[in-house]
Amino acid sequence: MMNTSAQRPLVVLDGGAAGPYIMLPLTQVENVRAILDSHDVSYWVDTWAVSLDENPYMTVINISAKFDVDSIQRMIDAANEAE
Amino acid sequence: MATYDEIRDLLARVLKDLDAVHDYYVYTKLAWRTIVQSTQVEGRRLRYLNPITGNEVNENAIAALSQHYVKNYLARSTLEEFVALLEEFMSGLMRVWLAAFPGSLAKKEVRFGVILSARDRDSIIQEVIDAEIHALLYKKVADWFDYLNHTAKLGCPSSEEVGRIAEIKATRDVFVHNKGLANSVYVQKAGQFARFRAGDPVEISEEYHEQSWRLLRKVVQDLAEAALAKS
Repeated sequence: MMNTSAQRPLVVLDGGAAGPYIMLPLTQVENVRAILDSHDVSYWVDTWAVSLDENPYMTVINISAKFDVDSIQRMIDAANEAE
Repeated sequence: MATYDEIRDLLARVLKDLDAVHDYYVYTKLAWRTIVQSTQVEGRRLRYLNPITGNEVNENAIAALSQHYVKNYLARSTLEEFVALLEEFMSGLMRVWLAAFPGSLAKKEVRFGVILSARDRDSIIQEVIDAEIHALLYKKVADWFDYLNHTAKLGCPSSEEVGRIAEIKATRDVFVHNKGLANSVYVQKAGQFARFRAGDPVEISEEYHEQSWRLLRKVVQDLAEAALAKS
């Protein structure tokens, strides 16, 4: 799956002990939520969003520390390949 | 009239402080998100140096640290501040109320030394009120509201709201006293509103954080308005 704002692949970031997280455009939140829900991943989405240099608003999906970065990245990538 | 003005000023001050803490939470969180967006999404390079500790981090380390700071440190420190503001409001309201209606303290005993060193009658009353509030704030959250209801009969908050506040206070206590791990004390204090079992790491989700802020703000406002209507 691409980050449509930056035209780069969507990257799962390593939050260390705080768990993985994904920064993504607001418009992609629902798609990623569907992927996470289908794998029973616990997460919550930031209420607030940031826009830099007039670019689209970006927000964050916070993922439970029970999950590791690589497994979440694989889920995202697999969805990307299926697109 | 002095009582009315004091309660009104107390309410305004605590609501302003609650809003300021929430603004701090949101703006700090967004500042970190902006840094992560700038580095991890847009590819900027970044380094921070702390000469005090000698630690230096690059954009990748900052991305990891920022999530820890936001999800853990920031959420817990602002929740602690919410609870501190509730305590400040409760002690302030009780102080104003007991000063205006000291009759409920009629059976309290005063050390003779307090009388000897007192400037006047009001300073003796103030001493008794201070001791009363100090002792009360060490008791259970439910006891705070029982005491206030017994003393001022304000008719709020509801028992459910008291239970939820007790859980918020118990969550705060877990971070202050037990390194963020729920224990039997948490379970006992939180009662039916407990969110975790003993041994579980306690989390403060954004939703919980917001609901806690909204509840404490509402309860402060309800109590002040009920007290204003009676003063």
